Amino acid sequence: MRLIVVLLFLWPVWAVADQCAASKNPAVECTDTGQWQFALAIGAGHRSNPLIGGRNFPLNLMPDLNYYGKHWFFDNGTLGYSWTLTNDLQLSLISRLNEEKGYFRRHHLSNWLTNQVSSDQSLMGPTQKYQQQIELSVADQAKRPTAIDAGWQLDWFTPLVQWKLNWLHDVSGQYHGQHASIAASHGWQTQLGHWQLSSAVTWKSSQLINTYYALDSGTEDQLDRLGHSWQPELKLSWSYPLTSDWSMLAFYRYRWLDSAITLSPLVVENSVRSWFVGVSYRFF
Amino acid sequence: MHGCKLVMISILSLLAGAVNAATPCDKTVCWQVAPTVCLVNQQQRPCHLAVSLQWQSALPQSVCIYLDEQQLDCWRAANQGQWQQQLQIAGPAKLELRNQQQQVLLQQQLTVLSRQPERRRRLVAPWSVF
Repeated sequence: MRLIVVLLFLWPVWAVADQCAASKNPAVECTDTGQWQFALAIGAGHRSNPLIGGRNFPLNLMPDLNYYGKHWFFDNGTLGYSWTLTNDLQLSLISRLNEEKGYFRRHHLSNWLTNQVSSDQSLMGPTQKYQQQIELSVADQAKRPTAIDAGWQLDWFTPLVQWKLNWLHDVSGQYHGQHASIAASHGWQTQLGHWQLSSAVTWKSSQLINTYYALDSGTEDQLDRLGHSWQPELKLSWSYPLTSDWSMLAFYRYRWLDSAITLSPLVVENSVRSWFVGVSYRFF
Repeated sequence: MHGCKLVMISILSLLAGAVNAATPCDKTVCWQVAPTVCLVNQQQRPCHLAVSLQWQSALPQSVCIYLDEQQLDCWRAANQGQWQQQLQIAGPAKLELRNQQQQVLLQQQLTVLSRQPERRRRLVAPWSVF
């Protein structure tokens, strides 16, 4: 059943595909090599925070920064070195910060905790145990580590869909785990602008999930242990050029969180939703 | 005035040296190939260049010229030869003079340069910092 869901999310989408041709085709995300490119988008939006007491991450100002050399590249926080295997296949060694810590930066459990403890004081048993542990977790939230991941990414540019496979593991010794994903995306051009539909499924190891979402990652108590997690997502992006530098921009992303992660008392929502509507200006 | 003469002599000497350097033939087989660089407006586009080639040999030889593995022209028991043709190359290519035993006697690299910077497909989604 899980496999069927995965395949449904990855089923190739329609429309015409393009390669990074010599002519600047707006349906393909291409960039000039040997020069930094920087754009800033301003508008309204947020990324939801599935953590209990977590505040949404505001998306009012977003940068888009990249540099591509012949092999090296830096693109929105990902540093990589690519090898062109064939015209349509590129293998890259990549490294970037793990994104999990981001939820905890916008985490204000103190308010929530005061309310919960006062209203649930009469509860006993496991619930009480969770309450106590959450108090500890709140006190220790700074311990959620900032981890650096490194691994491989394989990009396959087929006529219809751009496929992306990546596998990353913790090279900073913070959570001792790994995650992998398979993604498919496709862009097409209409009179209403450039559209991009992407789907992906990410697998996160139990070490990763436990380090960030278990109440106490150090405990051996089975009650507190979480398993590995599957997280499918869909994203629709749109952009409409107004001038050579100004564009309108919008996207919506929905990521499902499976029971492996929602079992955690720290997680109260089974999805992460991101949206943004605004305008962007390309500085260089 | 004396200084001016010295400068003129120096320039002429340099020019003479350059001419000599352009046509050295102290080897058994020599050639001159021009041009060796092709300019294209956009990357990935085929480049057209009219190549002129002259070769000389101390001994009569049967030789052929090749563009990578494609044979372009041949001579039988000749001491020299001239050749000119419009070539179309998509990227770096090798021009070679080979004898009957397919030994490479001379080799010249042909390079394609673009007026526009090379473009690459982005490997990370735009606007994906957060």
